[in-house]
Order: sequence, then C-alpha cells, then structure tokens
Amino acid sequence: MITVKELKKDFIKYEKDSGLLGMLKGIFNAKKTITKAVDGISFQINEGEIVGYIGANGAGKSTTIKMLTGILTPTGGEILVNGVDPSKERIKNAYNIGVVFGQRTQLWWDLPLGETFGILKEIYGVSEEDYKERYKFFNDLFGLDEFIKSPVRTLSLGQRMRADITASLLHNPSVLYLDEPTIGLDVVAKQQMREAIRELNKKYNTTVILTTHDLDDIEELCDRIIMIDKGKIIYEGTLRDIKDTYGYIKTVSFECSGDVICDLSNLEDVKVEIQDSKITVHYNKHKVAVSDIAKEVMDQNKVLDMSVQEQDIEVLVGNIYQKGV
Amino acid sequence: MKFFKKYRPFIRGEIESALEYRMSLVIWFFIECLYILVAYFTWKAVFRSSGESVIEGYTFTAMVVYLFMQRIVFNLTFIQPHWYITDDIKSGSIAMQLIKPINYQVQLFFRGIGTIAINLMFFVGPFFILFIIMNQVLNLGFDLSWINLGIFTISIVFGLLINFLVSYSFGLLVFFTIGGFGIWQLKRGVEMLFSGMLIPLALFPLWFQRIADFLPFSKVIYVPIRIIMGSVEMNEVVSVLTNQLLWIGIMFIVTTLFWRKTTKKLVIMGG
Repeated sequence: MITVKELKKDFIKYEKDSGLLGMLKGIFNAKKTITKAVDGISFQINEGEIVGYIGANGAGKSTTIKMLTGILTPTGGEILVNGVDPSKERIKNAYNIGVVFGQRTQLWWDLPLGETFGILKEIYGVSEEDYKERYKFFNDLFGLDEFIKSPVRTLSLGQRMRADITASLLHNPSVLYLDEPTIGLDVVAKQQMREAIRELNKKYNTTVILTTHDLDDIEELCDRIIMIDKGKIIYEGTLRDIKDTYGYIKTVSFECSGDVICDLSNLEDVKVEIQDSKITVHYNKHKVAVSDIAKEVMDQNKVLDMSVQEQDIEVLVGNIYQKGV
Repeated sequence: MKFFKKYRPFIRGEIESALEYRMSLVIWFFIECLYILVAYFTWKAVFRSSGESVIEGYTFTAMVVYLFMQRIVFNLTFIQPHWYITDDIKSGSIAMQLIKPINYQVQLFFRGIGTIAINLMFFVGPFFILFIIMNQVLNLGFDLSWINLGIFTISIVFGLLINFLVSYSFGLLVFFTIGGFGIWQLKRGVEMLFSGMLIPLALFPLWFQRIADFLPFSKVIYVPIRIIMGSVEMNEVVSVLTNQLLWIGIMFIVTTLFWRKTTKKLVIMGG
C-alpha cells in the first residue's frame, strides 16, 4: 500500500541571460528561481491496484515517481511505501519496488541480456528456483529466448523494453512503477506490453503505478486515474467518469467536394466546425456513434475522405483544467 | 560474504564490458608502451647532457626502474569513480543505479576493481615480465625481496583505497557542476604534480616535497614505488603504512558527509 501526504518538491534553477556575455555574467550572479514541481499532493493506492498517473509534460509526474522510489528527497510531506519511507531507507525500499523508466534502461549496455539478468539475480539475492519460475513466466509473455544472448546495445527498442520490464520484476516486487513504458513502441509491441502488465498484476498481485501519454494504455489497464497539472492533483477517479463528464473526446473530420453543408441538429452533444471544404465534428463517443454522424454528413455532402482522431491527454487535461472539476 | 556476493557482479560486469572492446585494450597497451619508451629516452638524454651519473640519488638505471614501477603502480591504483559518476549523471542513469538495493559508493568501488583486474591482466602482467627480462639483460640491478613485495602489496591496497576516496570526492563535485571535464583536468593536474607520477618527488625543491608529503596523492603512487624499490627503511615502514591508513580514515569521513549532503541536492537530468 502506498500513502502520500502533502508531498512537495521544489527545484531551484539558475536563470542565465542568453549569449556569451550573458553566460559569463551568469557565472557571478545568476537569478535564482524556485519551481514547485510537486505542490502538496496526497493520495493512497491499495495493494493490487493499477493506477494511471497522468498529466502533461512537466506536470510533475516523473518527479513524484522519483520521490516514491527514494531517488529524490521531498522538500516536504510524507511518503510510505509498504510502511517504508523511501528517501530515509532507500535500500530497504528498493527490495520492494520495480521501476521502469521508458526513456532509460537498467540493462548492462555492453553485455548479453542474460548477463544482466544474472547480475540482477545476485544483487537482489533471488533463489535459483524463483529465478527460473519467473524467467519462464516472462519468456512465455515476451519470447525472451529469442534475444537473450544478444548484447543489449543491439536490441530493438521493443525488445529492450520487454527486457527492461522483466529486469525490473525478477525480484518480484510488490510495487511496480512504470514511467511511460510504451513510449516509442509500435502498436503490436504496445498491445503486448499491456497484456503483460495485466498478466503480472493478476498473477503476482503487483501494485502498478503507470504514467503515460497514451489514452489507450489507461483505458485498457487502469482501475483508477490520478491526474495532475502544475504539481497539483486536478482529478482522481475512473477514466469512464472523466470521459462522460468531459465530453468531446473524439474528433471526426470529412474532406468533401463542392459546396459544404452540415446540419447535425438531430444528434446530441456534437460540435461542428466548417473550414472551406473540410468538416470537423467533435463528439462524445459514449453518446453518439460515429456511424450516425457519418451517415448524416454523407447524406448531405459528397465525401472524399474521412478520418477519426482520438483526443490526446494534453487536450483532455486542458479541458478539465479550464472547466474545473 | 553475502555483502561480497551482492557486489561481485559489478566486478564481473566491468571486466566483461572491457573485453567487449578488445581493440581498445590493444591500443591502450601500445599507448602505455609508447609512454615508457618516450620517458626512457628522455631520461637518457637528461643523464647524458647533465654529465652526472647520479641525480638527486637516482642513477640512470634506478630511474628506469622507477619508470617501470611508476607504470605498474599507476595501473594497479587506477580507480576512476569520478568517470563513472560523470557518466551516470550526464546520461541520467544515476537514477537506474539508485533504484537498486545497493550502496552507490560501494558499487563504484567494485566497478573500479573490475578495471584494476583488467589492468592487471593486460598491462601490469606484461610490464612486469618485460621488466624482469630487462633487469636481466640490461643489468638494472633490481633486487626483489619477498618482504618488500609483501609490504608493497599492502601499501598498494591502501593506495588504491586512498585514490578511490579522493577521486570519489572529486566525482561528487560533479553533482554540483553537472559537467565533469574541468574537475577531471583539475584532479589530473594536481595528481600529476603531487603523486610522483611525472618525476620522482625527490627531484623537486624541498618546500614542494613537504607539501607533496602532506597531501594524499603521494601516498597513492610515490610511497608504493619507494617501498618496492627498497628505499623505505624497515623502521619507517610502520609509520608510512599508518600514514596511509590515516588518510583512508580522513577521506572516508569526508566522503560520507559529502555524500549525505549530495543526495539531498540530487537533480536528475532529462525529466
């Protein structure tokens, strides 16, 4: 179980003027500015839960994760991860947690993948039996045998990610932090990653905290989301709630020929924008089916092309932030 | 034992990583040979032009012995935690180190031991054999006693620890400056001068020798060389080794306090 109370983290930055002269001036009197990366966050996460921790770039997600892992010391507030304060007892906490930072790797860059696993096994003191059992579990999910003998630097991003997840779970931690685990992966690899996260959550009852920019990750995995912006929690609850409340989740656009007309007054909760020969419709997918919109538009116009876009999380956060919860 | 088991993989990892780049080891070996060759001919020229056969207690053959011993001691104490720290901070992989249940300082030490093991295999071993051959062929008059070798080994271990702690504290400065280059240069310069790496400290003026004697750098290179060359009297041995131990103690306290301060300051690059 993870309890976070009134968590705060300030960063001190030194501003420097631009140009060589500015840089030189900066050596002697740089302007000091304080950024509140995390500003009074409180939440609780229960055992076995999968929670999405979302927000725009620079919202304070990674900073929170780093404090939960004990790498960064909070400026204020309290954290308890299974009864351990991570920044005070970093090493004790490290046995309880697994961490994957999507943009970094914990694998030995120059060694064959199997060597890294062997090294981790010794560091965490995992027994031979446990190691074999867990390796088999992940091998079934990820097909690790295919690249276990290759040096890590030769792996593709997808392979490396699968290896990284395995590496973070060989010691069977009760809590897993995933910081953008699907970043840069193709659709198939993403799907595989999600399945793996679900499987291990079911099998080992691992608590998972996930930060991501991918709405599908959240939709498919998370029981609950915590949304933060500028270091503060702006929403906590299920994704379904947020989508139902904060409407225009999806956008469909039509490329037409000739004069454009669009009358969708018989449909509920849609917003139409017309620009030259392009019609853009924002709609709530829980209330209106895209086929109904398409039918109406196609009846009224000659449609050349059509596309549906998922609204990304930044826009969603933006909407919530503007409207308030 | 359990402690050793936990950190042993770092030695292995470092050795295996180095062996992945065999070509660079071969090149390093040539650079080392070149260094010895250049220094050898430099001293030859110095002795010839000075017209004297003994300079500050060093004959030409003694200088050649010093030269070889300096390379051997240097490679045996070549532990560079500040490289790892700079790299870990710049790439942000320090985060990946700190999420593991390991002590960062101890981990750096064991990584360094891996490098020493490589040095032992690829540089120290060949140099030593080369030196023994030269000793026979050129009549360098070097006598190795088992007692000296024993004391030498102890002083090398102490020297290694001192060098680790000193380099480590330089490395921790990188947490504050982010860039490591200036700090490396500073360390290298100071080390070159005061450790006896460049020339025997006996060749410097007396006041300089006093400073060098006080600083920790001479305990890493100069002291072990003097021991193996038999220029440390038996009654001095205890005080010389105690002095090394003292520096280990001092540097250990300094780095521990410094690290505590550093972890509070840690900023991780790249979000």
